[in-house]
Amino acid sequence: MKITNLTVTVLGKQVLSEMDLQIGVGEVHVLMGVNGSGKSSLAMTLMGDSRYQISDASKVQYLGQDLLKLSSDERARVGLYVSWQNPTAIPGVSVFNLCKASYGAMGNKIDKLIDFKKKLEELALTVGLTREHINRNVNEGFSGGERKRLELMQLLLLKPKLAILDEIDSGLDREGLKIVREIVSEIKEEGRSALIITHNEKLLEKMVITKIWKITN
Amino acid sequence: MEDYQLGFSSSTDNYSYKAKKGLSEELVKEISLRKKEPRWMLEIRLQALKQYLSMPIPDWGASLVDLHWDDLRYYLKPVEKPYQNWDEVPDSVRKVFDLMGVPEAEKSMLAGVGGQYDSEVIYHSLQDLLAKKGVLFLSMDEGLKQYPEIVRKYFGKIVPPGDNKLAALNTAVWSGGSFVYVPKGVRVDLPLQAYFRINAENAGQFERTMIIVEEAASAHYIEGCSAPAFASASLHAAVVEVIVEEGAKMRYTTVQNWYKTVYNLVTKRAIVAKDGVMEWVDCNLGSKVTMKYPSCLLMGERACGEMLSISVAGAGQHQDTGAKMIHLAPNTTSRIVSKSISKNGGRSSYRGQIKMVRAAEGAHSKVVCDALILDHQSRSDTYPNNQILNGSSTLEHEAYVSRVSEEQILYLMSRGLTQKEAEGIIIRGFLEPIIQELPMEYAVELNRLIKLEMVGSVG
Repeated sequence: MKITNLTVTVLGKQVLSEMDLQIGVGEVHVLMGVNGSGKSSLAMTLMGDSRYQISDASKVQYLGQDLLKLSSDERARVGLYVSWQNPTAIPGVSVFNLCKASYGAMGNKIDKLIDFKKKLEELALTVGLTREHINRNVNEGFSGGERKRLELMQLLLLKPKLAILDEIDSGLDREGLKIVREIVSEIKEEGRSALIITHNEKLLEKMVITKIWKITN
Repeated sequence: MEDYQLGFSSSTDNYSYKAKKGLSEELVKEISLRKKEPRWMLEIRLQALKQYLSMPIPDWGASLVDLHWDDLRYYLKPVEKPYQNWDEVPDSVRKVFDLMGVPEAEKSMLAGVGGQYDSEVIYHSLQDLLAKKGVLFLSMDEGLKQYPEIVRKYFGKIVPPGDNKLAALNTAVWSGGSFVYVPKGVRVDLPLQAYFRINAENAGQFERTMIIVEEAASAHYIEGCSAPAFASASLHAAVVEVIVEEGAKMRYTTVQNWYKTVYNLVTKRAIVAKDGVMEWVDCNLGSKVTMKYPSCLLMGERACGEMLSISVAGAGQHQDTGAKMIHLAPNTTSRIVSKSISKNGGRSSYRGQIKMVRAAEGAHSKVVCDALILDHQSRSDTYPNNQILNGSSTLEHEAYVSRVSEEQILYLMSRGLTQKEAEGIIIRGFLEPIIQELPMEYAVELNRLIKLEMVGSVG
């Protein structure tokens, strides 16, 4: 992914100014900066949140495409995954149904639902959730940490080409941080890429990082 | 309206009788005469007409100002008699039922089928095995002809003509509807299905249904409703009377998909004896205005009443629906689950009554109203009316209103779902608890209708 000259305003306030950033295939990058420096705005902009207005001079090239011209779902389907800082609850939609729909949307086939459910249960246990979480509604009644773990679980399921982890560490305990490190190293091993947005240096311990970017206002 | 797939109609030129517009005593006499009814039924009709004329148009619910009562045709008879074989049904009428897939469904999944076309039932069938066990599934007109003593015993006893103006109107000009009788101990496992079709413009359809489920018997009756895409208003004002005897179980399912110019003003009521169970499952997707509050009079000890309802109110629609549970005996129970969706400026209202009289010691009722609002132009209201007249009964009432937020849609889109898929999964999730109560074929059909309804509706 190649970001050039990215300038973003939200509600009339400029949150990113002429930002440049590049992430190559198989690389792990980190974006650091204090609260309010625009780190999360970058994640929301790349996800395609329409509240974030982008200047005409801004460019984001991704796998030969102009990413800014794609809708959020198209971005997801070309391999971009943004893990939310504050994932929203969706009453009435179970984790199972969400995963089934998104897994299918990415072009994957589900042969037997029972096998798919087993797979989800294993992934849930991997990220520190329980089997029961699969049947619960998305993030409804979930603690902050459980919400983050569900984001990680979907990341494992969907295997995106580029994962953007927005403050994934907040709300996670030491065990949770360990899981994040394992997932990031798996991403790298499989030749995929990640951008980790954080201000927690502890998360980065023992991580093989291509580059640390810093935003200052 | 291009999404309404049942909007076709056929010519009314060949109808065997078409009443002129408007309502009169002559017309009521004419209907009764043509049906060769007993004298007592004509007297009931004429008395009801007087009551109808003396009652004001209800002004407490949805607006009825655009309904032009004098422009309606109150009786439209398409064919001379009901048929028992689809091959005999005239082509123009059969075509409509073919398009709705009725003969197909009959082969695969139903114990019996009735088809009503404007004022008359045009087709009726029942599995031989059930007929041998003494089950009756006839048009109401046939029921009156063949079993006048049963009809006379219950007609207007559960829903008296003076109950409300529309019930009085139905009693005066009723035609068609179903007559179902399930004898003691007989269980009808497959559903009995009735299809109600308005075909003519400015039509009034006033079917009258009576269902009697004797001691320890059980049955499931399903009705589906649709109408052509006419610009002017039509009226559907049915009355349904259900008698659930001791230890019997009855489920009555409606999937209403009237065209969006139909006024759907219906009175449905059941009396439930000791240990009996009555379940209403009510899905309102179509119509311009629906006012319908199926009721259970829980007469005997431990009688149980249940209501599961879905309503979808889109542009120009007002779904004013609910339920009444009247607890008249000790340890009676009831449950109401009402789910509504309002979108594109539509309005849905829940109007419900729970009454527990002094004798209803130890009664329990639970009401859950769940409203989903898809945009800022749409509206949802709740009008509960609870009266508990003894000290040992309990009532739980929960009401939730939620809006589909842009954030929820964005979250799902960020996981690869298109906007439509995202809206669909939220709406299906919301309705799921009720849809899973429907027979599978209906659940599929309802999901399909809702999918059509919901195209691009989150604003």
